[in-house]
Amino acid sequence: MSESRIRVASTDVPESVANGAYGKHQIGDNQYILKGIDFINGWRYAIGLKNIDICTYTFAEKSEFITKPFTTRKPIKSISLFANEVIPVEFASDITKANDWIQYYISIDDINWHRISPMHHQQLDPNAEFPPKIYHINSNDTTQDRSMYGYIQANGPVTAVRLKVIMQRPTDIENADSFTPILEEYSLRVVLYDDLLG
Amino acid sequence: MDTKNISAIVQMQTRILEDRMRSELENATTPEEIMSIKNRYAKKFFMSVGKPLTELFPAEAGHMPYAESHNAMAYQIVDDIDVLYRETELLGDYIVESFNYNQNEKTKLKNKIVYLSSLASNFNLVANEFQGNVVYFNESFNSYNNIDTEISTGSPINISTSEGVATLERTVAINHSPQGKIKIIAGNGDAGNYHIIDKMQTSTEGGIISITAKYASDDSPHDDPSAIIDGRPDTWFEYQMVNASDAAKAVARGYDIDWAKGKQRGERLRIKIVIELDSVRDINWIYINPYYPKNSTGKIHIYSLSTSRDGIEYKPINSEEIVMDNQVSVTPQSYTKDTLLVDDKQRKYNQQGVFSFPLTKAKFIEVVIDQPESYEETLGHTYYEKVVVKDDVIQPAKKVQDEVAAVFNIKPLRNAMRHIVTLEQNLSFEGQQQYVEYNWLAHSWTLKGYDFEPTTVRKRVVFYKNARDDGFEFIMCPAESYTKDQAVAKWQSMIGTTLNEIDGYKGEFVATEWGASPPDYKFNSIMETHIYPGRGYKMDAEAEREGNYTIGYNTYIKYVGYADVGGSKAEYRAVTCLVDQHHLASVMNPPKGRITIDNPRFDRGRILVDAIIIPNGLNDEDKFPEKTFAHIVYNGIEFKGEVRRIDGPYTYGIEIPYTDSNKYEKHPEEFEFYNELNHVFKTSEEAEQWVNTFRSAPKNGYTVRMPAEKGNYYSFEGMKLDTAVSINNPNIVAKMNVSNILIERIADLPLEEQEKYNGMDGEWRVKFIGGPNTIPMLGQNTVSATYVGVLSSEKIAGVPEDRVANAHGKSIAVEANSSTNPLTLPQTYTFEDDLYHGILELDESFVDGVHMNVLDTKVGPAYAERVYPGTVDEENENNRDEIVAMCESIIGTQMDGLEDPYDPDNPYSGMFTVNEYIIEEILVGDYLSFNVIFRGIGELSKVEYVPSYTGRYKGYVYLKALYDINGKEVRK
Repeated sequence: MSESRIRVASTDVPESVANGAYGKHQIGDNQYILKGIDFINGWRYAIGLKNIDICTYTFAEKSEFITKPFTTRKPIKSISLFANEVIPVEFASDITKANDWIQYYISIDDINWHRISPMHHQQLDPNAEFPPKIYHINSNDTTQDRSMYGYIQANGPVTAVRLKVIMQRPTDIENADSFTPILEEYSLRVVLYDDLLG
Repeated sequence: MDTKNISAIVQMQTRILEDRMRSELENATTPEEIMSIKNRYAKKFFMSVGKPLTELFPAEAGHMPYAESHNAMAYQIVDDIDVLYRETELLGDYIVESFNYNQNEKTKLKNKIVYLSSLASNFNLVANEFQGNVVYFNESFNSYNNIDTEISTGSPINISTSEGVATLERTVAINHSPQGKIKIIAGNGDAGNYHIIDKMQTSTEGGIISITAKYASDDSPHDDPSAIIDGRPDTWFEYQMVNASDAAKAVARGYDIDWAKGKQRGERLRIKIVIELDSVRDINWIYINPYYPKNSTGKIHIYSLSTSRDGIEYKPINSEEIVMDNQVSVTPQSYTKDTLLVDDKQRKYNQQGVFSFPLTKAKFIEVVIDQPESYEETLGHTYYEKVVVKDDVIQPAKKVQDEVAAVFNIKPLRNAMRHIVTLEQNLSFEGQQQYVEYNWLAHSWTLKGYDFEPTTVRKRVVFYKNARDDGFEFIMCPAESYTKDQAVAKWQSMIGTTLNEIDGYKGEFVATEWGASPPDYKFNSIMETHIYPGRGYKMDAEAEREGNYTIGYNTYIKYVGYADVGGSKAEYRAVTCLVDQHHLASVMNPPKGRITIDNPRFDRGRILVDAIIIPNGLNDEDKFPEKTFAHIVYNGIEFKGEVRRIDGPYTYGIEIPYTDSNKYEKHPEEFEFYNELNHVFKTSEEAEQWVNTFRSAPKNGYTVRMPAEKGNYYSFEGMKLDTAVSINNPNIVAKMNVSNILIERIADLPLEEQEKYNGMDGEWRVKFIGGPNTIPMLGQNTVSATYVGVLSSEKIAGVPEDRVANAHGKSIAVEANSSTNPLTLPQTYTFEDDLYHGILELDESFVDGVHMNVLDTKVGPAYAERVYPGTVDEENENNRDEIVAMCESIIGTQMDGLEDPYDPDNPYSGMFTVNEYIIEEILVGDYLSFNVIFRGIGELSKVEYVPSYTGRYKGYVYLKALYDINGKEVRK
C-alpha cells in the first residue's frame, strides 16, 4: 500500500471536516482528509484593551497625605525630591502659583515640617520665598549658599524622614471642582553620612 | 494552609467498637463477663485500628452457616464500608478546600508579584546611582503601603492604585463606560487573537516526537469589543495584524492564508474605537487600561482622543493637540533619575493611560490607538491534506521517484492584479458560468549563456533568480529528494565559476539585456539562505549595480530559468500558471463552483511544491509521450492535464519591447507586474538556449518582435493568448485566442529603429499557422476573439436579428493604424442571459500582419466602476445615511465613469448604468473616509484626454473593442 498526499483548500473539504476536529476524516474508500495545524514563525502587531473608563470626577478643594517614615541605616546627610506632576493648564492663570498646587514638606521629627521644592521646580516669583530643593541635615558646611539650601539641625543622627504632600486647586475658574493636580510619582533622594554618628 | 491529618477512620472505628461493646455489656450479667468484654474490645481496638473491623465467620464444610454469625459479619462489613465512604467524603472536602486555598494563595502571590515589581522599579532607580551612600525612596502609587493614614489630617488625597496616580480627594466618581456601547471598531487589523498558537506540548512516544497545539482563540478569541467597557479587569479585547515571511508561509502552500498581512517592521497597526455613552455626559477623565499579550512589546501608542456630542463633530480632549501619539507602557516603568527630572508629556502618559482634561459634554468618545512594533509570535495554519491510499498491486510503482518534471505553484502573486492563467486548452466552468475571461501574459526569462551540461545525476533543478535594486533573490528548487549539498553542487555546476563569490558559491551571473542600460552586477554577500526541506533552497544575495543606468528603469530584473540536468537537455517546460477567481469571472457572471482547467502545463519559476507532476516513464528514449499529470485539485481548480512534447526548431522567444520609460516610472508596479509573469518553456532538444522577453509598448499596444535570426520560427505552440493586459491598466483586458502562431521576421529595421527597440532588428509579422505538421497536439488552428456585448431587454427587442447578422463577417481592424490585419467578426452568435458573444475564427488561414496590437483591442460595452468623488466625514451617521440614500437613488441611472485614469493618453469614456454600489471604509489618518464605488455596464467611446483629470475616479474597464455588437466602430 502506498499513500499519495496532497494539500487542499478548506473550501475543498466537506463542511463536516472543515468544522470538525483535528485528525483524520474518512471521506471515501481508501481516502481520508487529514486536518492539522502548521506552525509558522511569524510576527504580530497587537493592541489589547482591558478597559476604557470614561469618567466624571469632581475633586475636593484641598487634600493631603503623609507618608510613613522612610528609615535609613546610616544617618541622613541631605534630602532632595524628584516628582512627576501634572498641573492642568487651566491653573496657569497665575503663573506664580504654579509651584503651589502641589506642595511638599519633609519632617525628621513629625513636628516641624520644612517645605521642599522638587528638583524640576524653578523660582517663578522673585519676590516670594522659594523653598529649598536640597536640605542638609546636621551639616557643618557653611560654604554653601544658605539661601539656596535648607539646613535642619537635629539633636542627634537622623535616620528617618517623612514626606507630606498637600494638593489644592483653584476655586475661581470655571468648573473648578472638575480639575485636579495629578502626582504620578515621586522619589526622595537621601544622601547618607559615611559613619553612623553623622 | 497547614498540612494536617484529616483522616477520621480511627474516630469512626472507635465509635463503632464502643457501640458494639455497649451492646454486649447490656447483656452482661457478671463482673467477670464485663471485664472479659472490655478486655476483648480493648485488644480488638489496638490490634485492628485502621484496618477493617469485620470479623470473618467462614462457613464450615458440611453444614449451613449460622445465621447469627453470617448476619453479624454482614453488619460489620456495612460498618466498614460506612467508614470508607465517610473517609472518602472527608478527602473530597479536603481536596476542595485545598484547591480554594491554593487559589487564594495564587491570588496573594500574584499581588505580591505586582508589589515586588513595583519594588523592582525602586531598585532600578538605586542601581543607577553610583554613590554608595545614596538612597531613593520611590512611590509610584501602586499601593497604599507608604501612606500613614493615622497621622494625616484634613481631606485625604485620593490614590488610585490601578491608575497609579494621586489626585485631590474625589467627591464624585462616576464611570460611564458600563452604560455605553461600542459604536465603531475600525482599523487596518482584525479583531481577536486568531491564528495564534497556544499551549504547545511536546511528547515523545516510540521515538516519534509529536507536538500538540491549539489556537489561543479556541479558549477565547477576545474579539468582542464590548469587553472594553464592561468594567471587568479579567476580560479584554485584542486587535491584531499577523504575518510571517514568505518562506515561513510556504508551509501553507498558498491555501487559506489570506489573513496574513503586514510587514514585520515599519508597519503600524491602528484601531479606532468609538464609544457611545447612554447620553451626553460631563466627562473629564479617561482611563485606558491596556492588555499586553505574553512576549509582546509592552506598549501601545494613544494616537488621539476625541469627544463629540453628536457623533459628527469631534474635538480632541486637549484642544492644543489633535494628535497626541503618546506611549502607554507596561506598569511599572523602570525609573531613572533623568525621567524623573523631566516633566515631559511622554512621561505623563508613560504608565497606564490616564487622561485628565477640562469638563466636556460628550456622548461619543473616539480613541485611536497605534501599535508601531511587532513581536515574534508562533502562528498556526490549519491545513487539510487529502490522503489517498493506493494499492500497489493493482497500480505497480514506476520508476519515477526522481523524475520531477514540473511543479505547480498556483497562488496569487504579490500584486493584486497579477491574476493570470495560462492555459493550453480551455477553461470550463461548472455552474452558471458560460464563458470565462482570463489573462495571459508571458514574461521575460532567459537562459542565455547557460550551458546545460548533461550530468549523470538523474535529477533536474529548476532555479529562479529575481533581481531588484535592493538585491538578488535566488531560488534553487531541487527535485524533492535533493539535499542541500546536492543542490549547491548543482547550482555551482549550472552557474559556472565566474559569479562573484557568494558565501563560498561561485557561478556566472548573466545579466539581462533590459532597457537601455544593461546592468552590471556585483554580488556582495549572501543575506539570507533558506532551505525548504523537500522543496528547495533559496539564497537572497545583496548586489550592487555598476555602470550607467537609469534609476527606476532597470529596477526590476528577473531571471528565471531551469536546467534539466538529467536526461535530454531542456526537455520540459513549466509555464506560469496562475489563477485568480476575479479574472476568471465574467462581468456579469462571476464563476461559481468548481473550475476545471484542462491540460495545464505551466508553472512559475518559483517552485513550491503544491503538486508534483511525475511523468510516466520519463527517459531519453521516450521523448515526451503524452503523459498524464497527477490529478490535482487545487483551491477549487481541478487540473486534468498532460505533458506533451513541443516539436520543431525553437530558439529565441518573443519580446514585446517596452519603449516608454516614462510610463514605467509612473507605474513601476506594473512593470514589476510583468516581470512577475514568467514562465519556463520546454524547448526541443535542438534548442540550446533561448530568450523570451515580453515587454509592452503602452502607446502602441502590444507588439511582438522577435530578436532572432531570419528564418527562425518561434512558436507559442499551443498557447492561447486569450487575454492580455494593458500595461497601463491591467484591468483592461482584451481577449484573443491565438493558437499555433508562427512569427516570422520580414524586414530589417533601420538602425535608429533598432536602437529604439533596444536591439530589435527587424519588423515581424505574426502568422497563424495550422495543420498537423506543425504541432500536432494543438488542435484547432484558430484565431479567436471572444466578443462580448450586453443587450438590455429593450435592445434585444429593438435590435432585429438581421442587424446582428449584419455584423457578421465584418472585419475588425486590430489596430487603429493597421487596416491590413483584419479579423473577421463572428459568424455565429450566442445569447446567454443578457450577454451576447461570438467567436472570431480563422480556421486554417493566415492572418497576415496581425500584430499583437490586437491585444489592445477594446470591446464595448464595458464594465465600469466609479468611485464617488471626494470623501465624507466619518462618524456622522446622518451623513452616512445620506450617502446610502444617494447611492440608492443612483441605482439604475446613467453615470459617466468609463475613463481609464491609468492610461490618460488613450482615454475612453462612456456612460454606464449603475446597478450596484459598494461603500468602502478607509481609515485615513485619524478619521475615516468613505469611498463609494458604483458599478455598472456601459458603452465606450474614445474621448480626448482631459488634462484636469484628478484621479478621483477609478474606472475599471474590462473589455474594450473597436466595434460594438452592432458593428459600430467605437474607437477611431
